[in-house]
Amino acid sequence: MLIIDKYAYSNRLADSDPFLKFIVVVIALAITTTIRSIYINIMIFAMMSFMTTKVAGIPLDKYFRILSIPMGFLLISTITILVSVSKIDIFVYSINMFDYYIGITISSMEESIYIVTRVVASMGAAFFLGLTTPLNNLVKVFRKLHLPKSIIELIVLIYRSIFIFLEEAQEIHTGQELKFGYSNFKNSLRSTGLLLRSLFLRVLLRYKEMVIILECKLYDGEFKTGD
Amino acid sequence: MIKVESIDYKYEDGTLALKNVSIDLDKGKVIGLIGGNGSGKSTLFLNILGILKPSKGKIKYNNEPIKYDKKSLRDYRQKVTMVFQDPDKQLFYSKVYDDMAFPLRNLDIAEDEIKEKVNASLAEVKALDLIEKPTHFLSYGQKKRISIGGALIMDSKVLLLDEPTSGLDPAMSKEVKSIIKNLSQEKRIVVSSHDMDFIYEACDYIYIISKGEILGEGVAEDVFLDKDILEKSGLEKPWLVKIHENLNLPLYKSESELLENRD
Repeated sequence: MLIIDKYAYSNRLADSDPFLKFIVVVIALAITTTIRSIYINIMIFAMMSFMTTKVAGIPLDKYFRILSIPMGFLLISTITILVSVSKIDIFVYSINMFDYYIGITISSMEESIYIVTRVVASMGAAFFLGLTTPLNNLVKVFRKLHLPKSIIELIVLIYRSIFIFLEEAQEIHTGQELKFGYSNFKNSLRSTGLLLRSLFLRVLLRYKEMVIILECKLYDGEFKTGD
Repeated sequence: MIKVESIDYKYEDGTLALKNVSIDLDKGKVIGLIGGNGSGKSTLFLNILGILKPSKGKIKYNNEPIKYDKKSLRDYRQKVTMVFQDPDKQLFYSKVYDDMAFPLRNLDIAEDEIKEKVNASLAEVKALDLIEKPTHFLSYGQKKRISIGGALIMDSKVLLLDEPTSGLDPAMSKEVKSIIKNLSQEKRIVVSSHDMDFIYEACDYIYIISKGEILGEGVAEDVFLDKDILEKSGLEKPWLVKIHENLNLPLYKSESELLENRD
């Protein structure tokens, strides 16, 4: 089970108007992408995390743990912006390697801080929507926006597939772990390979079963939300 | 009702999963289909549902062979529906209400009516309190209730239940039995299982399937007296039959019948 989905269905804002939340998030995203201000970005993030944790009631530690996953990617990509290479020493901090200087400039530092706050603000907004809105309510919004049926179908099926994927991977992993599949480095490598192989097969199998279920439930190419 | 007329089903690799299987759902109100693991029970169900197409023979609904085009199948599956063995796989949405409403929404039924039907179906499986719950928070038994409720919602004429008691605790098994009994008033039910005690009490006509072939059929009280067939299919006699044969007691259909008559 995905923790994100659990909260989406059980938080205090789960039943609130999805359109309102969607509009709030779109406005927040529009502000952070158009107005170039670190303070506004920080304010948006603070507001969004306040609404997610205090208003919707998602535990603070869980919230930051979920947030830390994309933060990892953010940090790695920031380094590439922050650090540059030059033959002349134009850096605030730098190290000298052979004929080159590798370091940080004032403008790259400013740029990075700005980008980080912007991404964090956007993520706060996206997570607010994602963590407080059940999928079916999001689909309602997409349908109101006249998103093409096939796009909505893709969204719902991809969402469902992520679960199938994670559930199966978790099951295989537990099974392997109980058989000491991860007891040392060599075993871990082998087990990971096996996991990927059987994951592929099992996901295909689950996909077939899902298609049967959808047929029995008279699915006809469009996910309807009853409005 | 449904008649399966000498069908064969071949897998893609050529193995014959069903051999000359004939079944008549008019033989009883609750039909039992018993057989060991891999005997072809689920394959037969998928054939009856029109998900798989038999390589030989016909499946008839009200004396008309079922057609395999999209529209006919859609109509047919409103009349014939199935509860799958693993409720986790049957639930598509993460919220009980949405999951139950799904087939009705696909039929473009008005939301008010859907609400009524969801409530009625949940009441039938005694799960009304779960209506707003996310499905991940449910126990296995609760999920089973929801998946049975989800199949009831279509008001089908025929309900197929694949191993409805597997993985359930005794209390829940008993409840599934009483749900089946209630439902049999208004619709035809087919139950597959290798839980002999359950089948013996719940069903009135029974087919025994082994390695894709029907080995025997008959009313519950007769079928279980045939030791050879049961052994051949890897099954066992229900305990009520065993005590009838070994302790010289009359053959009772249920535990409560036995207890009432014991003096």
